[in-house]
Amino acid sequence: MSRVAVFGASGFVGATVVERLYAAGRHDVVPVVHSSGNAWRVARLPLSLKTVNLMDAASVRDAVDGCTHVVNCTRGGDDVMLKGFRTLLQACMANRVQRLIHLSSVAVYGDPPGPDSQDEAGRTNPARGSYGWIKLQQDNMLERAARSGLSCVALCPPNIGGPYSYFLLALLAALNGGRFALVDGGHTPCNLVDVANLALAIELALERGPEDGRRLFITDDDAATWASVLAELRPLVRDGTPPVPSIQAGVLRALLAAQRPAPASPWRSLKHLVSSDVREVLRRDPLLARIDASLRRSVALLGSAVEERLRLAIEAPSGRRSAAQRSDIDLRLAAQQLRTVVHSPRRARETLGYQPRHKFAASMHAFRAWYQSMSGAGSPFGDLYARIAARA
Amino acid sequence: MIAESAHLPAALECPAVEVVALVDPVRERIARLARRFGLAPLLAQDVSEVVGRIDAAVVATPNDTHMPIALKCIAGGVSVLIEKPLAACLDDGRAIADAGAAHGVLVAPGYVTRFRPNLRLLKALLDRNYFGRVRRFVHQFGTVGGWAPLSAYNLTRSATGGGVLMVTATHFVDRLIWFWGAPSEVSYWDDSRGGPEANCVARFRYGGDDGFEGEARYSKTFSLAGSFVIETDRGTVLLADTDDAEILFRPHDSHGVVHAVRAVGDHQDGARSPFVSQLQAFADACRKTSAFPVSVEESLRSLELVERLYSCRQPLPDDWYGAAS
Repeated sequence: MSRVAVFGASGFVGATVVERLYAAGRHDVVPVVHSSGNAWRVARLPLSLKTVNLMDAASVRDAVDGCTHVVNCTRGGDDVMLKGFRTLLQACMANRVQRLIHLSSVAVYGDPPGPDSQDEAGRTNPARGSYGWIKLQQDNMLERAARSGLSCVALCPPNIGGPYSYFLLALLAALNGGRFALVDGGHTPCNLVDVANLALAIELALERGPEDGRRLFITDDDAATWASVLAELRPLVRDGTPPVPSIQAGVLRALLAAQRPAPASPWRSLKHLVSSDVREVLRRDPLLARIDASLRRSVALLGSAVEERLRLAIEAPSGRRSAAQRSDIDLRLAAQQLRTVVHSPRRARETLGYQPRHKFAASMHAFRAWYQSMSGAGSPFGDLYARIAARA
Repeated sequence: MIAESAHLPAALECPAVEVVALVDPVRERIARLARRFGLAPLLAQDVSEVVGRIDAAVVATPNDTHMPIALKCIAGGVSVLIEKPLAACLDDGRAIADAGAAHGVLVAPGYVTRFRPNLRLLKALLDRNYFGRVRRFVHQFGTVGGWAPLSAYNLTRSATGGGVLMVTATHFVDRLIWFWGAPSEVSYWDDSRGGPEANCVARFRYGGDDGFEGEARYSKTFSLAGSFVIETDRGTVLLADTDDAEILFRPHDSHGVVHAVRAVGDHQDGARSPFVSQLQAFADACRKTSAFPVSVEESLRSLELVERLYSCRQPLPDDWYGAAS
């Protein structure tokens, strides 16, 4: 029997993979978590959890030791995603792991992704330092490990739906908070994969498929639009929530442009350095506090009018920032609606035999069933729970 | 961890208490705690090293260690304030209670929410039928994940005595016992597949046909705003699970108006942390100036109710795709 270590087992995808592999009974599953605090979902299974810090090479090697297969669903800070991932790759190679399945993301193609990213060969173009950029560095490391002999593949999901979906929960929270807007009526594609479909693809990839570390898109095979996702979520939206507004793509682009950080300039940097927020931190150092006090006394000698003009020049927010700040719309969710490409799972179908088991409608139904059960909406006491939700 | 975040700060704020010893198997932890709080106490790795040199102890350790630690203290005449639940199981709890009674030593169960002024006011008003007769109630509390103790004992069923019911719901179980006593009927569902449950739902019935019923749900995988809702024949009472929440009452014929209910002058009491109030009450009880407000018998009834719920456990449905089809 193969022994599969699932790193990131306390997360949304990792926990689903552990549950699926455990239920299938064909593998000896080792859930690997970073902290016991978030591991409740997998802890309810009769499995021994391993707590591992990816930044600690010895504990990673220990967790991989004896495992034939490794699934990597970890997330974390940049250090964990890069240095920690390198440590995991090294441990897999040192322990002669037969197969590594790594969870990548369509974010590596940039935001918005180019039209050629309907298949995996499209140009990767993430903004430097973004989540997609970090994931791309991981993918590159994975390909290098494959060239060194590690059999591995990167599965590349878009937004992930189904029970426990963070994406759908965020969307629902924005809807209930009146912060969600449909862009141009919501006609653009909403690339989704149901979490159970993704777990199925991971299970398939443990046993077959490419070994070159390259990406495979894993998506549902029936395309959804943002309007259709919204329609499926509507039964969960609280009574009394105002109708969802629509925003034109051009207006949204202007809002997003206003939110981008302004280009670097010495004057802006100087303003930042002498702003009250920065000085407040610097004043914690006694020497810097004395320098600050001395400078303030010098400025005061120039007279209150000059002092006030200086204060306004340093502290007044720029018009560009305040325009974005005025927007109540969740711009992150809105920006996703500017994506027009549909990522195709054709290559996963051909190489893994991947056939999504759950269609979009069934996936959304499952999310609703989970959400209603968790929130008590389906309980005979649902009307009392609704009183709490209305106050929250 | 609760010692660091709550009990030690409370001890430093409570004039009736002097911290003279810290005990933990890992010496570096308590040395760091002592430095952090500017204390110079006796540092010990086992409670037996300090018995005889202390008057009282706060036991804030994994649930399954409450009993052996408490027994050592009690045998040495040391009064104990034991973090909730009293023990990981009813038998252990009884052993603690029996030892306390045999040695004439105070055993104080640490249900800190009992010291919230808003809950004490709610209990007093319900006892007087201020809001009318209770018909139904719900309570919920859920977080995605939670605290991660250094020992990770929270995910070991044998160490905690259960899952989210024992770890999180135990405060509400105590509240039921405090408000209304043991229910006449219970039902219970959870999602354990052998390990500690992450989600649970319990139903309670009090009295016969003219009684009342309620439900409570707890989660470690889903965010649920901690709140207590009571429907009476006159309206609906809502109290959020925070130290300073106001009791809100919405009469059936409210015309959209909600009443915020507070006792005259309670804003002065509300500023004090319930952990400080609990420690002060413990110190007073140790000096026999007043009885500790939570009796050991009540905490045994809480453990009894938890075990009663586990004994009638049914699986919580989690085949969401089956439900979809």
